[in-house]
Amino acid sequence: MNAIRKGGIETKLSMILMGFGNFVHKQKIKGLLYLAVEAAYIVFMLVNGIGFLRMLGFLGSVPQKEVWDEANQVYVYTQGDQSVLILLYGVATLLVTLLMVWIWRGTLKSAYKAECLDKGGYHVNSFAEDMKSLLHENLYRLLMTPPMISILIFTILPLIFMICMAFTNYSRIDNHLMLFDWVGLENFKALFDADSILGSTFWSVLGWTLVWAFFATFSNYIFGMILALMINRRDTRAKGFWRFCFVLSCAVPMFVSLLIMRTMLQPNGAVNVLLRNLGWIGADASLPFFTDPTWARVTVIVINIWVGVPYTLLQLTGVLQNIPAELYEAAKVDGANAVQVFFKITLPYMLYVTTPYLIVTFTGNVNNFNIIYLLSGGDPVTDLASTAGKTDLLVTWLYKLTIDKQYYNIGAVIGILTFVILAIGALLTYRNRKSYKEGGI
Amino acid sequence: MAAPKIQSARRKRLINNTIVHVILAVLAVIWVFPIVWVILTSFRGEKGSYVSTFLPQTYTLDNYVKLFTDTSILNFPKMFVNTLIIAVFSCLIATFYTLAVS
Repeated sequence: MNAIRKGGIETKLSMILMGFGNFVHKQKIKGLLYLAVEAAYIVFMLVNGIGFLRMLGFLGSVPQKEVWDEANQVYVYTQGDQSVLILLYGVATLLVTLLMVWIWRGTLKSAYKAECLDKGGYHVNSFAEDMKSLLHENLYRLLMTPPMISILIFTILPLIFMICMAFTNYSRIDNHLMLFDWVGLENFKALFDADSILGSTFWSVLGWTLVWAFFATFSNYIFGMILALMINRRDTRAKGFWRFCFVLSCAVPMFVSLLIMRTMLQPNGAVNVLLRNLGWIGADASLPFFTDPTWARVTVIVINIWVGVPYTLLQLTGVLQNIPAELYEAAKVDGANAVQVFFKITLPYMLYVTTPYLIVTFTGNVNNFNIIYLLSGGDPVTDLASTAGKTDLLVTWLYKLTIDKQYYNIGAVIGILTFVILAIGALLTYRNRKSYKEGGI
Repeated sequence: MAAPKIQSARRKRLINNTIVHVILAVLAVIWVFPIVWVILTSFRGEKGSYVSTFLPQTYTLDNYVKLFTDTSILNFPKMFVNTLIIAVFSCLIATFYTLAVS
């Protein structure tokens, strides 16, 4: 801003002719580089960019056509507009334009700096000196550039692209896979409308997701805490051996152990066979682990305990060993019993330390794709009209909608909603907990 | 008066300890059980994925030999090398980026 108000005529000129200020003030190569960037941008915009931006407004309109080719006696398909590509190019062009604005700001700054230095009679850095400074005082710029560019291309661009998709009708419904249009908030409305099939599915899946996240998190936490306390007791023998037994399941990759569990719990799997051999159930009977909705839900939660408790155990063992021993001695002198000691010393201390961990596990469980998808795959499906099974979480439902059904727009909407719900929940609990209020992290 | 009290306290502790150890043992069995089953199954001689007995009837090392030699279904050695290449390169790139950023 200073540059525009106070800069000389050459600085002001570099608003239009980028690099002019640098060029006049002994920074010829730098000025030329800026000019080259501007020229490249203008050429790009004239050749492609403006077209991309214009197309972004209506996302293409020419449908793919069948034309009867008389000479070869076949149907020939003409190339129609592909809305996905148009959307992608449009978003990319927008990003390039933003980048350009940033560079333009950089030119003004650098032109103004060069002008001030030159007029004040100071030394103006030559291009070679600028390059050299990248290795010394400006080393951070050189090192930060590649990661920043990668983040821009591989994270930010796809993210914006996905968010845009939530506002279109890009899905297999009405055959909008090639050509689609902006529909504004229609998708959000459809999802919140509890009367439609999609809406009712959404609410039931959301409900189960929250129930699952709650039970999965706290069953793990409580069970892990009990185990850690039992192993950490003064009188328990062979502590190392017990820890080894429980932590052994961490050694197997999670998806492998989940698939093992899935195989074992099938109607003819190992567990049912074992029960039959023991004579606890009939020779042809099998427990409906993944075929009955309630059974499936309980099974999933129980197996999550199997998978998750070792990690909680390790975490909480560390916390337990950190509680100052003086507290326990003081409690003993005062004649407190075990229950009082637990609720007045151990539990508050652990909660104080592990609330962030709890929040992280809760959000992790809301998005727990692995367990549900590999274990039950969302089955059983009781309502054939809906697209989700009884154990589907929002994420696995999203996966089914996008990959199997190709409802890309609904998938994007669910993604955004999950993010919003999680972000709000996590922030609220994080800000409200005790250790944050007391000025900790 | 004092002696029985100490004795009963000791007995209580003994009972507590036994209960805790029994619970731990049962849980440990549950936790280790699937892993043991998988390891046993990997040595199973019979074919097929679902069998009517819980423990394998015959034991064999064939499954392991097949994994590395029979490349008609799964080219396991190739997969192994691919995994190695990916691991090495992602490790290198990640190290470079994190070093640069920090």
